[in-house]
Formats: sequence, structure tokens, C-alpha cells
Amino acid sequence: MMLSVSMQQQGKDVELTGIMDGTEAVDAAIPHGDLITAFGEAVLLGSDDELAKARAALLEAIGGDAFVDTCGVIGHFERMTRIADATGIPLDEDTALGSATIREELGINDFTMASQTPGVKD
Amino acid sequence: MPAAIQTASPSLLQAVGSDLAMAVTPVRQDLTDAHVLVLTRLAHAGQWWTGAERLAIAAEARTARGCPLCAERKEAISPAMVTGNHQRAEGMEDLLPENIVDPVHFVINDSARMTPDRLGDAIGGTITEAHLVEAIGIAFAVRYMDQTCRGLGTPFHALPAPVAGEPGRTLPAGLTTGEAFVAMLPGEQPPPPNDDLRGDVTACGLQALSAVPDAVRDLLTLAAAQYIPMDIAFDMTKGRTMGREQMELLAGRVSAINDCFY
Repeated sequence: MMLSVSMQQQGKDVELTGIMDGTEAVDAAIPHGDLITAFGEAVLLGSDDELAKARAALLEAIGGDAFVDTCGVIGHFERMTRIADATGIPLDEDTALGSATIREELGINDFTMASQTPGVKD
Repeated sequence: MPAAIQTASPSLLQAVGSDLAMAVTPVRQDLTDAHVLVLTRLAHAGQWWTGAERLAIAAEARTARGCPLCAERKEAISPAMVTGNHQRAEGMEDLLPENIVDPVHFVINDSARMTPDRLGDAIGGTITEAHLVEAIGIAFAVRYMDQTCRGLGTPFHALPAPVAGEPGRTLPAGLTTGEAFVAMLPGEQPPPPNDDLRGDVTACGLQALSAVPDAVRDLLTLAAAQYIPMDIAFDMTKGRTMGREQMELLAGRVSAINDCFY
């Protein structure tokens, strides 16, 4: 949902399927979104060789400062996702309301922890 | 006044600085400083664990990355179908009660399938829910820094030597139960001495570890350097050199890979 809102701030819509389906499905409206996604996937799932290639490609495309930002964001969400799941917190009320359509369309309501948010999964 | 240590260890500043100097591109000083501060705190006694125990939990969280039992369990239809012994952090085996090892490995490798029963199984003997929350916070702080280092192409930071001291053994006032698997402070700003935990933001992500307020402070320290300071995180006009839409795309993809609903 926050991706949608951030694009709306720029007066743009965004196709969100890249979040679930990965690099090939990333909306070209997000600058270097494919390379950013490929790098994130390589940090989480890739071999050291795959990571090195993804890192080099991203660094060349977006430059050092934004590359460091990218690494920081990956670290942040590696933690936040686990905090949320390990403690079973519900979605914040505003987020739950605002993301209902997106969650349905992307199949996010099928995730196990959806049952922790009232009204999402009975 | 916040309990969390606010002064970084000079020796750690040098060590972490050396690690991050190996990155493929220069790393911001505020990111370096955040890692140093969290590592400094890690070495000291917390509310429920000594410094040595906290470092042993950190080492377990790191060892869990390559644990064969965790890998087998992750592939199983149900984690309960796979039993056995975890790969343990070398030299740390005697520092932790057995029942804290499984939850630390589980939250690193399979947190999307956590249940209240699984958390509850870890409670007993000397382990309370607050011990668990602190341990989870430590494990995730290490994961946070390690994955950042992996991206940057640097070694993981060596864990520091423990600092002697006894845990505070104090729960914050006002914990409530029922909303999550663990007790949490309510959404509004807590009273002193924990009135630094929220800012103007109400978010369950900030409440989750609030039974151990310093675990939230570690999160705030790292988030301010690596994402967006949490008090302005919901202002979508705020970004870094990386655009906000790029940040949120990556956030969404990392969440999806981790099967995270939140």
C-alpha cells in the first residue's frame, strides 16, 4: 500500500504485481525497479555469485548513495517482517482499511498471519 | 530518561568502521554509527539477559542462517513434522537454556509460521515471555545488520566481548494482552520513562517488542539510519537518495519473499 501512496504523491499509478511475482513483473514506472528488486532477491535468496552480479548492476545504475540506501532498506524489512510475524501483531487499522483491495488482488490475504488481523480471515 | 545506552564503544566504532570500509562504495557515517550503538548495547546486560547471554543469542541467530534442521523444517508442510537438534553456535552451548534456542532459530528462518503455542512452548523454567521478547529483538537486530552487510559486500561485524552486569528485570507499566502473541504497550505514547518510544506514530510494528522497551529503541536507532525515522515513516514525501517509491517497492518485495502479511 505504501508503494501505491508514494506513487500517488507523484500523480502516478503503479502496477504492484512485481511485489509478488518478482523482477520480471516490476512496473517500469519505478526507476530501476527491476534492478532494485533483483538485488533484493539476490541478498535474500541468491548465491554469492548471483549477489555480486546483481550488486554490480545496481551500483552502476543508481550510484553509491542510493545503493547504500538500498542495502539499508533490505536490512530494515528483513527485521520488520520477522517482528510482525514472530509476535503476531495485527495490521494497523488504517493500513488494513486502505490495503483491502490490494491485499485481495495480490493474494496477500492467503498468508498465514492474515488471521491475526480482525476481519481478514475467519 | 531512556534506559538504552546512548554512547557507542570506541573500539567497536573502529571495528565496524573497518568492516564497512570494505563495502563496494562508501557507507554513510550515520549507518556506521547505528550499527556501533546497537552492538554496544548488545554487549551489555538487558532487562532479562546478561551481556554474555545476549551475545550468545546473537550468535545463535547468526548460526541459524545455515542450520540444517531449520532448512528441513522450512520445507515441511508443517514445522511440527520435523524434529531434531539445531546446529548450535560454537562455544556458546552452555550459555543459554535449551528452550530459548528453538524460538531464536525459528524466528530467523520460519517466522511466518509462528504460533502462540510455539512461543508458549519456550516458556518455562527460567524463561518468561519477556525473556522471549528480548531474545527475539536481539536476533532481529543481528539479522538487520547482517543482511545490510551482505548487501554491501562486507563481512558481518564480529560480536563484541560481553560487559559484566546484571539484567534490570523490570517490565514496563501498562502492558496489555490479547492483540498479539505477546503482551505489548498500548498504541499511544507510554508514560515516562518510555515516552521516547512512539513520537506521533501509532503502529503495531513499534508496539510488538514493547514489553522490552530497549528492543524498540534498537529498532528506532537502526530505522533512523537505514529506512526513515519512524516518527515520519508514514509521510510518503520523505525519502533518501533512493526514491520513496523505490524503497517501498523493495520493502514490499522483501515482505513477500518472507511471506509476511504485515
